[in-house]
Amino acid sequence: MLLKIENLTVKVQDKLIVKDASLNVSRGEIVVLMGPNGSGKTTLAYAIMGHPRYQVVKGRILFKGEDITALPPHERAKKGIFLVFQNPPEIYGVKVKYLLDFISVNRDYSDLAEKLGFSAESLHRDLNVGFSGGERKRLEVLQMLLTKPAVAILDEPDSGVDIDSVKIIADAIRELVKEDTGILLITHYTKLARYLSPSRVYVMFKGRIVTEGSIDLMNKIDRCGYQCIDLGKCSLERCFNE
Amino acid sequence: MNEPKWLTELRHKALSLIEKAPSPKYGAKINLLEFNKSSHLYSKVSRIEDLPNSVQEALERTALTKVDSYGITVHVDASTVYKLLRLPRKVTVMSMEDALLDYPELKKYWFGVFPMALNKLTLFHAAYSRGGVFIRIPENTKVDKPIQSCFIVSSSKYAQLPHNIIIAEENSEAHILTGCTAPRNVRHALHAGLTEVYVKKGAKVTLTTIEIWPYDMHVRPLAGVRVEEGGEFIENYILLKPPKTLQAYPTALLVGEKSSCLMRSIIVGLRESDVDVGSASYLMGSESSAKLVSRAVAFHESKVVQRTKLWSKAPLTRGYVDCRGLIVGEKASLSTYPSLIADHKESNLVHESAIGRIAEDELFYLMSRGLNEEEAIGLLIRGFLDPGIMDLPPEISREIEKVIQITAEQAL
Repeated sequence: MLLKIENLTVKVQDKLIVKDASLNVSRGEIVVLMGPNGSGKTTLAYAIMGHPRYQVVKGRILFKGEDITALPPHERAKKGIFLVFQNPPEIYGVKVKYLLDFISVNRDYSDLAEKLGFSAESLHRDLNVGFSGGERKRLEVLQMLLTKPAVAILDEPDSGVDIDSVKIIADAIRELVKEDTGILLITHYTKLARYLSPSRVYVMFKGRIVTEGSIDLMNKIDRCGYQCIDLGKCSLERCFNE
Repeated sequence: MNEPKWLTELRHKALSLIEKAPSPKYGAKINLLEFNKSSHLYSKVSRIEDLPNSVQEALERTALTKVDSYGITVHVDASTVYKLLRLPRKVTVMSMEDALLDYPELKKYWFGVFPMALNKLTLFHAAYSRGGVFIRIPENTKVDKPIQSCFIVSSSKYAQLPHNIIIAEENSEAHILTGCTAPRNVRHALHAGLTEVYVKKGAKVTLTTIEIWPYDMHVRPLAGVRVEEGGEFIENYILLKPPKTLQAYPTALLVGEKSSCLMRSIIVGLRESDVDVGSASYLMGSESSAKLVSRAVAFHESKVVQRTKLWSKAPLTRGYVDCRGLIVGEKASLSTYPSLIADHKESNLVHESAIGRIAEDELFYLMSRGLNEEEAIGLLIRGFLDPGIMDLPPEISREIEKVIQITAEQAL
């Protein structure tokens, strides 16, 4: 198993956000994690990447069988975990080029950058400063492609971007999968997820992974929404089996 | 001493005023009597390689020798030891001793903008100044590459007191790039250079100063600038390695209509250094405008003060202060003292300032890309100080960025 999350409970300050979550990602596999806003998806992603403010109080994170729960973020990155941020920060004075040079270890990336819409000139801009939503996502995807990670976690790469950018992101994911990268795609829309035909879908709700299943699960989510879970009017199984 | 009579008389006058003069208002207290006012004179060399090794190393740390420029003058203690200049026609760059003999009109520029009797330190400078550089850019001449000078304090306990005068005649343009430093083995010395800049009608002067000091030094750069109608003054003050104590408060008088200044500083506080750096601009000409930008990072137990002052005395003036500090050291201290004064109702002065720490989310982001904590913080600090905005020669920019990054990583 490439990435294995075992019974992970995560707290931020004194609040438990993720409760007893387990999921797996194998090589060359696309796995989707869905759930409404505020269900704990981003917290789980940050915890997997090792954000110091997101404290694992129970459970563990295994990468290629090794327990990495206590490692700092840069060591997780070096082992091959990459996180595409939902909202990457604006960093003044740090040029895009500097970060790309660091990530690519001075391989030439100008063609790839150009393909994702970054001209040589635009690489001299400050990181994400004044970038549109689409530009931010594309820059994240560019870094992901240059990193060639073993596992990529994409946190809502499809939110707030136009259809062309969604297509670029989907193509990038497919390219990585071809090279055996495992993908954990976090989203609350089914559009991009459908397009990628994932092998497994997890649904997160109020910090718990409440169900997992095949692509059919998405059809049901599209039909019922997350609402039925929210209202507690029916258990998932009943709702989905109706 | 072979110098004009008026100067000798002025020195005597300064001496007679010292006792009753106030101490400097800002910065750590120092006892001027502890420093030697004379040192042995260094003979001129024809090649940089002929300078003592320690002086050469100090010079190299400023990176000035790497810059594509119109040459450099090197001053060790009170002596001008090296001069290699390939200047455009009629541009004058010479040692102050020579200039005082050749240019009698220097009398009116000597303490022509900087007030000699401001305090004990300025009078001390006036009484004992030695050396310095005189730069004059003739009318309608644009010098397209920097003119450089480097001041090196090489004797312990010595007070280096160069007096520099820069005159940019009407519609001229130049970039003056200055390095101030000392070999690492120098102990308890003082550098208190005084620079007076005259930006005449329509002229533009950029004055960049890079300071890299060993720890056991006291530094008090003094600077006064006068900008005439439509003139523009840009200052870049970069303190990369602070000494034990440093105080600077360069002041630009915008006397001409539509004159302007942009004064930027990058300040790094390390160890137990006591650093007090300000900039001030007096908007005296109608429609004059000033922008003061300051970035400081306080590491270790350093104490850093950022001061800014804009004083509007004329109609339709505009001023903007952008002052930001980053506190990194557990025991460091950072203070900012902005001051805006308007003596005219048609003034518009704005001030923005902030003190903060390294943003956790930015740090996490960079670490998630594989930078370790030291590298990531170094990069964030470099980005915060952002020497890139100063539009310096690339060789200097690269060197500054490198030094900031290394300093930040080592300081953690």
